[in-house]
Amino acid sequence: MNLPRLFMQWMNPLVMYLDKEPVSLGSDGVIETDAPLNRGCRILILGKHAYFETTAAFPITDLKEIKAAVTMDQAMYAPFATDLIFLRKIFRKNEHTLVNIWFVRPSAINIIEQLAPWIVFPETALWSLAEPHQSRLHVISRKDDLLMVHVDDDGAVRSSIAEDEDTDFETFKRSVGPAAQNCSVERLESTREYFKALLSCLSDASITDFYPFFRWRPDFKNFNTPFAKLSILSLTILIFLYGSIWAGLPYWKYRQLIQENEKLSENLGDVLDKQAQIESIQQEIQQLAKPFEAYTPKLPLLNMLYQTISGKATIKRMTIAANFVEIGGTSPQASAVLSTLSAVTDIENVQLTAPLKKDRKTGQDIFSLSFRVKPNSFLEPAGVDPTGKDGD
Amino acid sequence: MISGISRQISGRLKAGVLILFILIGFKYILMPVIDWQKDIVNRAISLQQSVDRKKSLIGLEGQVEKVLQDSIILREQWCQHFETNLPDPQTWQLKLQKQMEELTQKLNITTSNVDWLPLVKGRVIGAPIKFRVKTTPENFMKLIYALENASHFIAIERINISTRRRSDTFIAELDVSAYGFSEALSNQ
Repeated sequence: MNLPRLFMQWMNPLVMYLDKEPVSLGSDGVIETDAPLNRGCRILILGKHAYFETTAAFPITDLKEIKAAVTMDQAMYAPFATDLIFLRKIFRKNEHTLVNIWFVRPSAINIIEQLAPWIVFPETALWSLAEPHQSRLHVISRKDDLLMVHVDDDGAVRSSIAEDEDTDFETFKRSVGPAAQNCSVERLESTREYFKALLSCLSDASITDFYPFFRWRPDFKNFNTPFAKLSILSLTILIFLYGSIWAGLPYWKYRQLIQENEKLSENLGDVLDKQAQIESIQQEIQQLAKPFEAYTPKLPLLNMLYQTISGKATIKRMTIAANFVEIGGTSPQASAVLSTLSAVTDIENVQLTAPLKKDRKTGQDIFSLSFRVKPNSFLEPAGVDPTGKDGD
Repeated sequence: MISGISRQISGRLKAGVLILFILIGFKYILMPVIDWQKDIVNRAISLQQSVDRKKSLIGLEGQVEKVLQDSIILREQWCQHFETNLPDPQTWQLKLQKQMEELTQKLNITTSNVDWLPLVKGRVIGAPIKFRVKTTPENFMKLIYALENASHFIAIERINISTRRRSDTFIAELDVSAYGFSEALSNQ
């Protein structure tokens, strides 16, 4: 998302152009003759007739100080005195700062005061915003005159108005100097095309480019104290109302719930006691069930081992701890024992825990294996009583 | 006098003081209020759940009573598997030892050694003992059957069997636990 572009799209419908008379510009560069001039101007583009333009170098860097110096000694830079001056820093080199200066004519200032725009751009300043900065000439054929603009490599602008291109163009190039001799020339053949190009320059400009031309300042002279007081009071009331709703509503609901809860507790006292008893008993049952859930019945496990391994192996030692079983013994074929046990569904991880060895006397495999009983296995009744009668 | 001092203070200092007051107000007024509001909202949500639960009980008095009775019966059934209301777990260990000795005597099993192991504590307390017997496989299976079908729950936690060459009997080590609880112990 290009924020400057969005900003400019929002600003564009209220762009005006002031050369000799103010006109409203449509988004496509067409002059809107029927648009009311007092509808609220946000950007005002000044035509060449509304200002005087020059460049100057100063041995100081602070733009405020430069502006103060120019304001003090206007006669040195401009043919008239004015209250509205725009400065734009071009570059700083060898402790000298080069600036573009635009002196707005007093007649234009009156109109600017009436229109009260947020940003005032001299038209030639817009050309210097376009990237890339490289020496170029713009020749714009307008309805009544010819505008010639030169932008140098650093973005400094010089311009002139002419009536006849054939003679005045060469004069302008000579006045600019060697930089204008071999640079590219861009031509615009109609006023509409020109305005469209200006609006395009505005759209492509970054927010920081507007800073030197930003004109809105708080007007403390005409500060409307009663209105400001009323605004602050209204804002305070609004904030207070919002805060009251934001904090008061949950608190009111909370108090209401406390009362409702107390009333329900009184009415359902007996039932609530019983429910608390039920919860307590259920927790107790869960505690009692824990040892049962963790226990692996040993008789079914031993029966399973007897039925599975009997005849295939002799168990010499066996350890059963929780659900882990380790067996050591001899067998004519230990792999058969392993595969038989692996097929039992209630156990898992059947594996040899030591390498197989051969008994020299009997020739049988000496094995050592382990497995785990799956959780909740062998929970069915233990089966036939090995004593043949009820055990006690 | 105050307006005179105010005039002497620079604009930057005024702005700094204003920002400082805003930050202090944010930290010590706004943030605590936000925390308080969050706390109230959480409490209200919790209370709402409690109220909803209580409302759902209206008209179910009979069912609650029935569930309570069923729960009491179920608990009693579970309690039958455990030793209850004995003065201390050592008594359970002694009782379990006597029960084991009686069983082994009845099954002609020779008991060579008995040890009391440390208690397993919790709401339900385990009282384990370890004993070493010499027996035949058949009698050993009968012993296991008798233990796992005893009137109270007895868990055989560990079995360790080792045999000797050319012998019909083997040595078995068993860790056996009796479980129980008493109000006095569970409150400790």
